[in-house]
Order: sequence, then structure tokens, then C-alpha cells
Amino acid sequence: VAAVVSPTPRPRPTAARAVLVASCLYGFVASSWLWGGRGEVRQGYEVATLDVGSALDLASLTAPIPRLGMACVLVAGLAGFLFRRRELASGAFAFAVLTVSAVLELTVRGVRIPGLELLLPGNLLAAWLVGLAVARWRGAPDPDDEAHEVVCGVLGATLVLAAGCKLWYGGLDWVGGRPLALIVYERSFGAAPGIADVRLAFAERPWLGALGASFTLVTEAAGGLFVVPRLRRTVAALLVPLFVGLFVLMGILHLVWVALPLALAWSHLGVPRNTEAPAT
Amino acid sequence: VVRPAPIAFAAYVATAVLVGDCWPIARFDMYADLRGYDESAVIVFRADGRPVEIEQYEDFTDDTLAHAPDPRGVRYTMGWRLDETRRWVLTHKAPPGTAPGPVNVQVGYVTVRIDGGPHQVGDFVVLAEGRAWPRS
Repeated sequence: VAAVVSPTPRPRPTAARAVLVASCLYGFVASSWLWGGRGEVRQGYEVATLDVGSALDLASLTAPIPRLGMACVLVAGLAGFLFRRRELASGAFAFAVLTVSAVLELTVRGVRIPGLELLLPGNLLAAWLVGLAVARWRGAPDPDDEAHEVVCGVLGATLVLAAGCKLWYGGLDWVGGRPLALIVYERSFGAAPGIADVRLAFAERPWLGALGASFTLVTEAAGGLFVVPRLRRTVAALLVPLFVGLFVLMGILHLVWVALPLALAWSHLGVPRNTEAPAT
Repeated sequence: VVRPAPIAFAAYVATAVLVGDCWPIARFDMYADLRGYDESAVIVFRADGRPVEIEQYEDFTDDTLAHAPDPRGVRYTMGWRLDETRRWVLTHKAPPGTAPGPVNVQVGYVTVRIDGGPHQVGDFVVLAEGRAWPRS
């Protein structure tokens, strides 16, 4: 009997990939807004660990044409990653552009880490590529499923690290809520009148500061549960009020930190499937 | 069967703890070191004595504001406001020959405390000042 062999259909883009791609684009735009066209680049400051600050003429990269070129490479790379055309190589090109953007941002702003809008997508894109490469190397039956799991593990790690650092450096002072209340009070200066009133009201009530600090710590620590597929939706849902609160009280808008956990948690990837044959 | 998520979780945490902040790895320690954070400096930009947004001004006639020093002796979490001020001034310098602007602009800070309720302590402290023009 001659078997009819039909070509394997190319896998379709998944929602999780699409959100990650959109987050990478958003992260690049947010980051390049900080370094692009400024004309002032402080060479080498706080980028010693990368040791590229002095090797590249970073200032020339902030001009419009190189910036546009980077954007084109990023879009092409992310499109290849999304539609699975040489996805590892495409994703690596995209990650390289994000890396250049991160280095420029570190250099221009003189900070240790780039903005979280770039940092999280960069982390998760790298994790997806590493997970995919390892899964293929291992000959895993569904490499995308494994890559998705790696990404979920890394996302959980970032949240647990955030909670751990607060306890490590801030200890019970942080839990008490006074530092948070002060930070919120600082941000009432120069805020729009309605927002300033909300922030002032928060800072005036110590129990609200303690509640907000505790909720932040518990939610971030619970991020470790993102490694457990059936708990992902709960963790992702908890992150929504956390980041809405951050926006209202501190003026920090981290869309990718809401969109990515939701997309990963509701993805069909990583969900245990019943592969057993039905009982007869 | 060992699942990849816990392995990735453990590997990332271990790497971040050992390596620290090195793109794309990070410890995510923003706002963590706040032990004893009871008093802080809030960066404020003023024009003719009134708090305003710096984006409303341009054609700064000297570099003094662009090199405003950091507040000393007081902690703060809004240093980015000072960075933005410096960068704005650098990128909106007056062309050579421009007359000094009519507005006295200042960047500085007020000290705030949280003990006994949020309140401001002392007066506005000037870090740097200069002249500028309102943006048309």
C-alpha cells in the first residue's frame, strides 16, 4: 500500500508568540525613545560588564538612519520568529537589535538595567530561543511547548527575584509600608490634580501603605507559581491589580508586564494534554 | 520527567544572584533598598518661582542646568527627573547669539518626610538655575 505523504503544514503563529513579538516592538520603541536623537551619549558609564561601550561609536547609532535600520532588522527578525521562518536565526537577529538598544539605553541614561518595557521582552525572547534550541537538540516531540515552559519559568523567576530583593535589602521596613507611602507621596508632586489627591490619600493612611506593600510582596513571590501550569492564570490575574496600582500610585505604566503573563497563562502551549488512547 | 519550567526558574534565579545585572539578566531590585527610607528629595523644576514642566521652556542660554548636581545628603527615587531635565536642556540649547531668555528657570528639590503623615520639610533647594524662553 502506497502511503500518501503530504507535506507537514507549517505551524501557525500562536497568541503567546504574537504578544511577545508585540512586546519586543513596544520595548524597542520605548527604549529608543530614551536614547534616540538625543545627541549626547555618555560613553562607558555602567556598561563595563558588557565591555562594548568603548568599542563602538555609540553616538553614531542614535542618529535617525541607524535607528531606522535597527527597526527594520528588528521587524524582519520578529516576523521570521512569529511566522516560523528560520525562527532561531530570525529571533537571534531580533534579540541582537534589542541588545544594542539596551546598551544604548544603559549608556545614555547611566543606569544598571534598561527600562522594564525592554527588559522583560528581551528576557523572554532570549528564554524562548534558548528553550527552542535545547528542545530541538534534545529531540523533544514538541519544541515549542518546551520553549513556552522555559519562558514561564523565567517569568516566574523575575517576579520571585523582585520579591526576594525587597526582603533582602529592605527587610521588614519594606513590609511596614512606610517607604512605599513615601514613594507614593513623592509622586504626588507635579501629578494631575485627581491623581495627586489619590496619591496623597494613600500616603496619609499607613494601613494602606502596609496593605499595598504586602500585596506587592505576596503577588511577586507568588510569581514563582508560574512554573505550575494550572496556577498560571491565577498568578497572571493577580498581576493585573498590581500593575494597575503601580500606574495609579506611581505613574509607572508597564503594559508588557500585564500582557505577557496573561498571554502565556492563557496559551494552549504548556497545558498538559491527555495523550492516552481512550479506553475501549 | 523533569519539566523545563522549574529548571529555567532555578537557572535564572541562580544566574541573577551570581552575575547580577547584566543584560538580559537582572535581579529586578528596583525600589528594594529602602531600609530607613523616611525622608527623600523630590526634584522640582521652577520658572520664575512657580513649579512647571520643563518641556514648556527652550533656548536655554547656558549649560548650568544641564550640569545640575545631584542632591546631597538626602536619598531620592526620582533621579530620572533630574536626568530628564539635564537632557532637555542639552537638546534645547539656545543658538549662538540668542539673547538670554526672560524667564528665570531653576531645578532643585524639596525634602519630604513620611513620619507623622506626609509633609514637606524646609524650603526649595536650588541645584542650578539659568535663563530660558517659553516655548511658542
